[in-house]
Amino acid sequence: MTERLKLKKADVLLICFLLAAALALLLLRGGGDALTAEVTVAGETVERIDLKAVTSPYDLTLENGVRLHVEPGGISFCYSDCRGQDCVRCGVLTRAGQAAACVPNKTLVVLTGKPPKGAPDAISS
Amino acid sequence: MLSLHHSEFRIPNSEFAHPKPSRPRYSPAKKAAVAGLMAALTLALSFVERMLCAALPLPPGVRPGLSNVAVMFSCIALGLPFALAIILVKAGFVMLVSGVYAGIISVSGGVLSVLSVALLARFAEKKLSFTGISVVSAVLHNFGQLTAASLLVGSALYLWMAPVLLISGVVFGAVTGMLLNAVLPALLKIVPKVENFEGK
Repeated sequence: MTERLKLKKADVLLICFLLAAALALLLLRGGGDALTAEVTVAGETVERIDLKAVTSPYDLTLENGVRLHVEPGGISFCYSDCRGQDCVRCGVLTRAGQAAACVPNKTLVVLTGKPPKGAPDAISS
Repeated sequence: MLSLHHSEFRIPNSEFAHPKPSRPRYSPAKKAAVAGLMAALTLALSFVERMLCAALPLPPGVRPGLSNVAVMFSCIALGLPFALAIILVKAGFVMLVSGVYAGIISVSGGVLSVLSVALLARFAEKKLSFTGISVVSAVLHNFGQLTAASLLVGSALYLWMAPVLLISGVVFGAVTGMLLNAVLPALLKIVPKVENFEGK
């Protein structure tokens, strides 16, 4: 049983490979200076909110009854009629790349580093 | 019937290598009883984990998967059918507590995870330790859940959730694998099929 406790070479290689894959995915996802919340319901984007432009907090009620709390630099689920309430427990999303979903209501909130559609990617002078 | 099956207990370099000759061979009924015990342990660990998650500052959607210790042990010691049954019991529990969708997500992650444990324990057992098997199982558990959630939500969540779930799968998979190593001597005292724990 003692040899079982030790990590084998294949274990270490496997862990390194998986961590490298995670890193690659993080790089692939890319960053950005903006902070945009994309709200999708059943695969369709219903809202794009520039969180850096938000000055005072407000609540946003979606057609399916889910209520999102939008605040400067952050967004969270504040009400959902689902049983699990995992979406509400996710708390406030504040960084690009974070996401929270309410599966029963097919609602997904994703933060990206890209500016909202229509806004310029960069302004050069 | 008490009979001696020395071939069952050949575990090199271990305290289990020389069991007491009076050790009985276990019946299917005992196996079922142990499976029940493991199912109860799975539910208890999953409940404890829920409470732990509320206290720990973990990213959204990340759970340590403590109950995987019992599921993985059952899969290796009792076999795939028992492990799948435990997964179904756990999904039923999750369904009662968090709703049907959570149950579907739980079962898809669980099935993928035990299938990987069963395959790796059979074919890659000499190359990977429990930690390695547990890491693969945890990562696949996360991807099973992610696939189910993506289908249910209607948009692919992979790009957003995959890095976090990969890293958490590796970290917590390693933790649960080591945990299984630590509790294994105690669990082996009640397990019927010891031969699954020796290299085939």
